[in-house]
Amino acid sequence: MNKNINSITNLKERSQILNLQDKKKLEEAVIDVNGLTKRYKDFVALDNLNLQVNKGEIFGFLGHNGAGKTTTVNILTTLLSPTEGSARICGFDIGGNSIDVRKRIGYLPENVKFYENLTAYENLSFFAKLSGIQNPKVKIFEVLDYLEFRGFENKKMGEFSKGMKQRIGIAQAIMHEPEILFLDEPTSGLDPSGVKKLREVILNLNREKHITIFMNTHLLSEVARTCSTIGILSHGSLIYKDSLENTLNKFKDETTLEDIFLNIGNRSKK
Amino acid sequence: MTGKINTIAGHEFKTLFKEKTFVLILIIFILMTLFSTYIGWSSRTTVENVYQETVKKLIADGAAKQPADPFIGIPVLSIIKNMIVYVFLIGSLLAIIIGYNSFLRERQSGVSKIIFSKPLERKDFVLGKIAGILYPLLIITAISFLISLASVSLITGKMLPSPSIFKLVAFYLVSLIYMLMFAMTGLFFSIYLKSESMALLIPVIIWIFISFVLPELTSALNPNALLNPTNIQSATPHGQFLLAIQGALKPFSVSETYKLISGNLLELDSASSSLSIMKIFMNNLGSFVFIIFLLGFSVFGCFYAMIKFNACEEEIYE
Repeated sequence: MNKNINSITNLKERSQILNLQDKKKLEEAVIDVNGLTKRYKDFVALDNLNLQVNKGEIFGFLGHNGAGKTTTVNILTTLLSPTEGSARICGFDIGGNSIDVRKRIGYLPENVKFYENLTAYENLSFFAKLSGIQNPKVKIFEVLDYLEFRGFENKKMGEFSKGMKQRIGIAQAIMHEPEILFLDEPTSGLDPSGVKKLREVILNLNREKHITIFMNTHLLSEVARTCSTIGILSHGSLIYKDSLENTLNKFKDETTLEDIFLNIGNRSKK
Repeated sequence: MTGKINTIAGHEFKTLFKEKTFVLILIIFILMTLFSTYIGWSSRTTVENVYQETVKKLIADGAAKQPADPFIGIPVLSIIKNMIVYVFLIGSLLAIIIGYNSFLRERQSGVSKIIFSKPLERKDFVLGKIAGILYPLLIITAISFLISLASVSLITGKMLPSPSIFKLVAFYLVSLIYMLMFAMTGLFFSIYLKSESMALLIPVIIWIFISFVLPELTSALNPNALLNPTNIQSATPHGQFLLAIQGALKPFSVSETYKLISGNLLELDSASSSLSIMKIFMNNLGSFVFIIFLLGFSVFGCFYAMIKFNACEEEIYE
């Protein structure tokens, strides 16, 4: 059943399969957000966000530009401190146990950047050592093999295309075998073949390495093809969260996920 | 040092090599060291030749008494006295660039988000950066020391005596501390300020103030002391007010402290050659402690700025 998931184009069929996989996994919230608020002077970027993401899920975090998705990821990856509220990642508080949190997460920022004058291997080696990996060389080649990206490790990052950089970005994020992978607009700027490859990588990481994926995106087509659960953020507040299967069942009259998104958005405005 | 501090330091050093910054600065320092020895040797030889010619002429003219050799009692280390000027003018400026560049690299490349998402303490990151700045400065001063030692020994035709070697070591250690102080200032502002141009401009303004303005206020009436280290402090013909200002600022004029200590260590006059290293430091203890204090203050500033640093500064409203 899993082997063919990438080729399934029917939304409902796909969501049923993904949901079935979810049920087999532990119902354990690896991301637990309580009343998270972030203010920049008068601007409220996040407003009392409450959110739980279970182990093994591929969570699609949807929202328009400026909704607060990146702020949420920045806080959950301990890069940013919240103004109010708390969050636990794999049971560890993002404020008090930030190092423990970082040991358990991988992070791919939007428009991932590297030291351009260093090779891919040198970049990965540096990040591997920072992640505390004992034998970086072995791990780097293992990950590059997994991502089918061997042969490029001695090229300078400055010579890489956007899609290639994303692969190295994924490599640095999964080298230390994290429990959760945070992806911030991972398909941004990629060409269709790059998007397809990245989608396969995300699904394989979830299926084979059992990594929980938290994916920020505003591309509904990506959510439909990849995610098992979706959450919609609007003006810093979570206005919807459910499994993809339930969402499709709830909004039977809508033909596409775009319609559902607009429907939910309109409801929240009312 | 922990593995992660070493990782940061090693990475820093490797990147310096890749960017050829280190190689360029090393070449500048080697040239400066060679030039200082050459200029010292050249001026000494010229004066010596003039003296010999004069003595010959006086003898030919039948003069009963000849003037004394001007270099009698002048220690040989003073040949490299120009190094003092090079370090406090050029070395400190290059150190600012090394320090400023150190964090700018992460800022410009945008990798700080990945770095700080790794299980790395920010204090370890700063310690790694400091070590990554210290290593190249240490290598540069060590090579400069070896060149000075070799060239002075070559010129004099014999190995320097041990006390002079120790003084030469002490001079390069003081120079290292002095340059490190500026490097840390550059690092601090590159972390603390968001504007790249301001992060470079402010340390350069500090450098100008320390290297030119403060000496103007404290030793302007003793012009030799501005560029050429000297121990001769002639009485100033000014009023008490200016004297009071000079007296008050003097201990804080770190470039003059550096020149004074370095001048004594390089035995610029016969009087300083008799001073031990300990005596030289004790004579300038207050001012030297102030240099150490400034170094400590700038290091503390780097830790403070790093704690405050926001790795997501470009996207706060997303």
